[in-house]
Amino acid sequence: MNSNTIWEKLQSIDTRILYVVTLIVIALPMLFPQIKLPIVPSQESIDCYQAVEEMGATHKLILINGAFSASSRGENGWQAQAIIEHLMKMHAPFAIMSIDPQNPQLMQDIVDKYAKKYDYVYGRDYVNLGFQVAFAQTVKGMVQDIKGTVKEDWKGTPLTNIPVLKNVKSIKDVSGIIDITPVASLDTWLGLATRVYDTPLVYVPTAVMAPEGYPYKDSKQIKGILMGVKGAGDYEYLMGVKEEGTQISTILSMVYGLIILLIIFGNIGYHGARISAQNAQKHGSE
Amino acid sequence: MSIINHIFAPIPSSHPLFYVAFFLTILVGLGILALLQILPNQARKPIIALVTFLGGLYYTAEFFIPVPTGHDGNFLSPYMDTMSNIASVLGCFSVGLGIISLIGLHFKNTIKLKASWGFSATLIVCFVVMTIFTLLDQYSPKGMLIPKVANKSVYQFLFSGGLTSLDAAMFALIGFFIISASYRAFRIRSLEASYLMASAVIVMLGQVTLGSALTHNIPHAYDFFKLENLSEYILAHINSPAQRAVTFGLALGALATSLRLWLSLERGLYFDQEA
Repeated sequence: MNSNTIWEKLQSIDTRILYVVTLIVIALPMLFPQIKLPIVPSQESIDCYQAVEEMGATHKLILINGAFSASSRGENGWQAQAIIEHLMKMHAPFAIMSIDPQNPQLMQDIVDKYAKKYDYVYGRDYVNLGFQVAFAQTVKGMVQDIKGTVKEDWKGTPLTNIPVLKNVKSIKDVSGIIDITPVASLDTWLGLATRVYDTPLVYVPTAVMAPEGYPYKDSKQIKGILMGVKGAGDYEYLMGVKEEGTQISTILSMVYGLIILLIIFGNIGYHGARISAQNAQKHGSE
Repeated sequence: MSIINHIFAPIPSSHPLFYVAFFLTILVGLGILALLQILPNQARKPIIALVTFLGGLYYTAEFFIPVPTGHDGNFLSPYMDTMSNIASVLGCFSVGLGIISLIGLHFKNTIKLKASWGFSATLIVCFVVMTIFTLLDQYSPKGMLIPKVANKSVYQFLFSGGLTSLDAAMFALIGFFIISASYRAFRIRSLEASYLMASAVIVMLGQVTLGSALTHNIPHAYDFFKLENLSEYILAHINSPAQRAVTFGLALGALATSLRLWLSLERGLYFDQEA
């Protein structure tokens, strides 16, 4: 078979060309922020937004679990940013716990970004519980006694000295849990924590983890799923702001478009080559 | 029983007896480890199996024993704090063990100038520098002068400027490989492959704004055919039952594995290997 036919070329575009095109597709919306695609929030994102809204309206503590590190910050970071800004807008008290060693600082950076704007003071309005080593055991312990299990915040201050936790003893005193995660932490929350006091849970995974949440959404064990970067963009839209989530959402759209286009090229090449080879064989036999 | 909770409760660093408790704990810990080392394998195995069994038994019993009406937990629940403390300490040991193993390996590579020893040396240098500045940031006494870079503490500078950026960049590279791999591998060679391709394209487009933009003008009466709704349908009505089946299978497998671990029946244990 002639490897220089158009069909063969369509199937074997040089990897370096693919990488350069990808880079351009990613860079374009960054260089020209006016390139924006219309956002239509999914029902899951709307449910998630409403669930957080309901949690915030109670003005009871909201527990945020951060399980992401810098590697998945590209997805979870923007979701966390949108949700934390939403909580701050409602002036809802929250506590951040982390099951990844990098996460306490990443979450703190997000809070610091908006703390001044929404007059959020550490200890009074929120607390960072830091990295928890044994996740399942910590969750199990928190169901009974949060201060007894975690004991100190991420800087070593005893939780008994943190005003925002003054009236909080256990998960019973928490209005909801928000799990921002790229790992399989959902089962632990559902199995050990939410079932005890019917605490509402919002699942905020990376896009690749999201399908795991659907059976639990169906059984109403979770209130909403905020899926990946699209979820972050949707959430910003619902909040009426346009920040990084919206921009990255556009970039992701364009990259997905590129992937689909390349798959189509590859398949046109594959089937073109196949038909061409069949025709050649037919003519040869004649 | 509250004595047990008291013994295993952590002491804050400001407590006058903190250092006494700290060194006593280290001594007792080392003593237990030394005792375990002295014992022959045949004696060591049942001790570890017993501790594993008791740990598992506590969590299982605490979970299944009903909670009396008007109470927050059953008679085992008050010891959850103690068990969490023990689990945290064991977790920290595993982190420490990982660090020792990692540094030991790369230290050997560097000393013996093995292939790519430069990477090993870089890892050790980064590890030491990050540890020093993280400890300084966390535990330095008030008023102590800590050097700053670009108006940030060195720890902040290294964490945000170095670690997170490098980590994110490394992960982002996967995107390029995925694009190349999906272009080369995704060929419609059969009917099944075409189903897979069609559902993948719908779900992919439905998960991004491009999908909404493409089918934005579909009349309201045909909303179902908008890509985001089709994607939602596939995820909720086709993926979800399959996912549920997978979850059941996984749970059964996890239950079997947990039972084997709990009862120390798992083959390939450290002791079996040593024997």
